[in-house]
Amino acid sequence: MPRYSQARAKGLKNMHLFKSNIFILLVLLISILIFSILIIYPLALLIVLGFPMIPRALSVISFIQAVEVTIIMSTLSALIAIIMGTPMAYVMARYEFRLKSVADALIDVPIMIPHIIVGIMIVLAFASHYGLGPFLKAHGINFINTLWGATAAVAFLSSTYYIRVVEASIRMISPDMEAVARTLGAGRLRVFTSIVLPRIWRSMATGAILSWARSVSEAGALFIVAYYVLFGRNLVYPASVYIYESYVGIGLVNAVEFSAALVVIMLIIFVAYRVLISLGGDHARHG
Amino acid sequence: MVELRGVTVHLRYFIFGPVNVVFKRNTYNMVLGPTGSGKSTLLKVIAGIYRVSEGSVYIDGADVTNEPPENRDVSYVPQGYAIFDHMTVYENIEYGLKLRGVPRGERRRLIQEIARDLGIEYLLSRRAVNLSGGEQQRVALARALVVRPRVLLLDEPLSMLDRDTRERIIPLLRELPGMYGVTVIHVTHDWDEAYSLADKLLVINEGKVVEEGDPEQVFTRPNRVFTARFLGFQNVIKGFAERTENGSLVRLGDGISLNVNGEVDGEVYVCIRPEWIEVLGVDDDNNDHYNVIRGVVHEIIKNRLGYSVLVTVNNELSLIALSRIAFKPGERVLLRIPRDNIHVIRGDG
Repeated sequence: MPRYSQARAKGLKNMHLFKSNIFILLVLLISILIFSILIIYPLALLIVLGFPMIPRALSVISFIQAVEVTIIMSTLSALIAIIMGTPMAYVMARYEFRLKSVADALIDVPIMIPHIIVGIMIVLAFASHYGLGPFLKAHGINFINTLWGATAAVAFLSSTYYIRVVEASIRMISPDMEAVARTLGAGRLRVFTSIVLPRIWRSMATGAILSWARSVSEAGALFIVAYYVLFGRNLVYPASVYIYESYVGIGLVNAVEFSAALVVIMLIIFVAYRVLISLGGDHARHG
Repeated sequence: MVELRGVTVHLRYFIFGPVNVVFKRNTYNMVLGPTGSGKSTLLKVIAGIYRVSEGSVYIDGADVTNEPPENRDVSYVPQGYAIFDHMTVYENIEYGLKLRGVPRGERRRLIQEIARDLGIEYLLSRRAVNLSGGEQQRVALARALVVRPRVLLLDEPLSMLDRDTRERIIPLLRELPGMYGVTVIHVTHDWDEAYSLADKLLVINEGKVVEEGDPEQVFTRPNRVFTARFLGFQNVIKGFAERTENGSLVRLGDGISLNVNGEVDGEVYVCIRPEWIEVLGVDDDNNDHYNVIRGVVHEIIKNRLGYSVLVTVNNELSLIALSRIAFKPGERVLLRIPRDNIHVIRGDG
């Protein structure tokens, strides 16, 4: 009798294990299915259909110029993110102060505001009769349809990503390590360059490429601020606007051609960048 | 010498101080206190990592209250050692020397010397990752000492080490004030550690110094009930004392009383370490030097030294004693307490 009940108990337990495994498997399967349909399938289709057309896309001068403008604008915006974001990330990670939660919320605001509105805000702030507008105009600085305007708009939208990534990585560094360096004779700047920087430069690089990629993708704000950019003596569309134009003006197939080309260019830059980072030093753990 | 005069620090959820204390030159000072008592805060105040809200900090007579950490000549070894693990062990030790502008050849000589003293020469060329606790501890010490600081601050330096390593490192720590001419301030919550190292002992609780003095005095004759409890007097009992012709008698209620040395009266706390109570079978032996109390074993816990026995004397009174015999719960026993080993604290302690 006891033996019987033991066996029964064991059977029940196995049954239970089996059931819970099935459940986990099911959940996993659903997740993979959605991921495949939503993300892998469209990406694969775009590349498969567009790939043979990429050489043709790359021979269109106006498109090459569009990519060029986009890359310059995004790189400038990533630089702005580094210059503006690194000290902010440090302060947010290290100090407690009054209104910190307000500062925290402000850093997130750019990713909450609809992009079209960001475009309106940039025009209002730098190219209208209000605020700095008249001053900038008097000094011949124009934000509408220029590289400056485009850069300002995408920098507004993308620096949040940089700040958050770098902030998280500074939080990982024990404040004790900085304290020890201070007692050993290092001033604040020296502590930053000798202790903090070697540990966060990888995250800075990751944050910069994230915000760079975010800038390349921007269309909404650019519709308002810089539908085209005066570049040299040419009027050049930013890449995303270019593709939008080709879709609306010519059609889907044409848009696929340029889209595939842009995606592949971005992927190549992304991978090359990653490789460069991984070559730079052997303490990958800090990244 | 390190001196704190009326130092108060306002932290987010905690006020430290006001603290007045002097640590003499070339001495080993132990700061003891429970978690969250403000021990680490004390170190960070001396290092200059925390800003003092009121009061001043003096090092060798100079007011350093407004000096940043880099100008104080104080070395700090935090609890996790904070080894710079993006450098080699050599570079770790070199860090402070470089900042002080010591020339390369001289740096090499000093690093070799301290590494030999601390037995870490074999580590010098290694990257400072995957070091054992004991290795990290010695690298951190070398890095702190090589710059010949006036003060060495150690935050729980032994808490992350295994027992064996700890016992090997204690004699080394003990040598530091003599060998390097440094005032050591060592923070811990372990009173065994404090007892074996301290020239001077400081007990901190809730941001205030509650007791200070030489370890012998603090350990056997603490002035406060908090310190007594914290330092291992597991039996702290409130009673009422009256003088007798030979010492005093403390009534603990319900007919139980203890003869103690010294003349006290009024409300008192009787403090007895469990290891000072002898637990006997039923063997009646009473005289002037011993207090004998009858009780029943309530609970017993095995420990490293024998058995910790909880004995119920009456409804209000239970005592903890250390015994080498494994009594059984329910067994009747006699507790023999030598009157010399009873410490009495006055009611306001």
